[in-house]
Amino acid sequence: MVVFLEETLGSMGLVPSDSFDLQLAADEILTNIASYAYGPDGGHITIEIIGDEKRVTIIFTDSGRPFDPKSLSSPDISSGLMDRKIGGLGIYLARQLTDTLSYSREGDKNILIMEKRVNRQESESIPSDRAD
Amino acid sequence: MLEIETGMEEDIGIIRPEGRLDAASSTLLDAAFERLIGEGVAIIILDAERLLYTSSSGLRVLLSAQKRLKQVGGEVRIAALRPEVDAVLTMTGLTSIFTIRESVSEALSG
Repeated sequence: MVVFLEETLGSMGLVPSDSFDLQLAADEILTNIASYAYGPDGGHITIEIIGDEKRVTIIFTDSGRPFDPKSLSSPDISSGLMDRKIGGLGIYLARQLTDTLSYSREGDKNILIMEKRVNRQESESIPSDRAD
Repeated sequence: MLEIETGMEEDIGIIRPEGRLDAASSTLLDAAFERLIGEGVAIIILDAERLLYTSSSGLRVLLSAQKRLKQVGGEVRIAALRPEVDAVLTMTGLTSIFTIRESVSEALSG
């Protein structure tokens, strides 16, 4: 899954910082779904990556427990070491690194859509890819 | 992919991760800290020169090691950060939690 993300984003000709930010944001969402959506038996995640001239959209779909990232409060990133919470940074990072992160529950599916405005290194054909 | 090398410089531990630190590989970093802390090492330098990427899973390991070491009067010092990884630490407000140095030799002197 990580390789698919890396390769697909890598093939889009994005500037390295946009590619890094999208990989990290997607990694955080995937880790979150893998950790919380399903029980020990695991489950499926579908990722779609769609790129156009100015933005990249990544859609994550799973059939696990409902999870709205907006229900999480932002971590206090100015607190001192001992008050610093160990968790909660992943979704915060995903939010910081993208322009929008939206969630909907459709039937038994969680659908999370992240969008980021991007810059491309050069103009080339725009790949659109999908992995199940 | 992540490879980790650990060493000692007098009584200071050095951990050198090479590659990407994510949910799967952060357990390796955790184990490296665990081993040094278990041996009684109080100051540990993370030589980040070859660390290309970290997700929040890696940050979690660093934060937890820092909490444990501060309790025994030690600390984690982070050296030679690449700009991409530095940006992730800055974004999460962690630069104020760690001693950050340009190089391992600077980190060795405090």
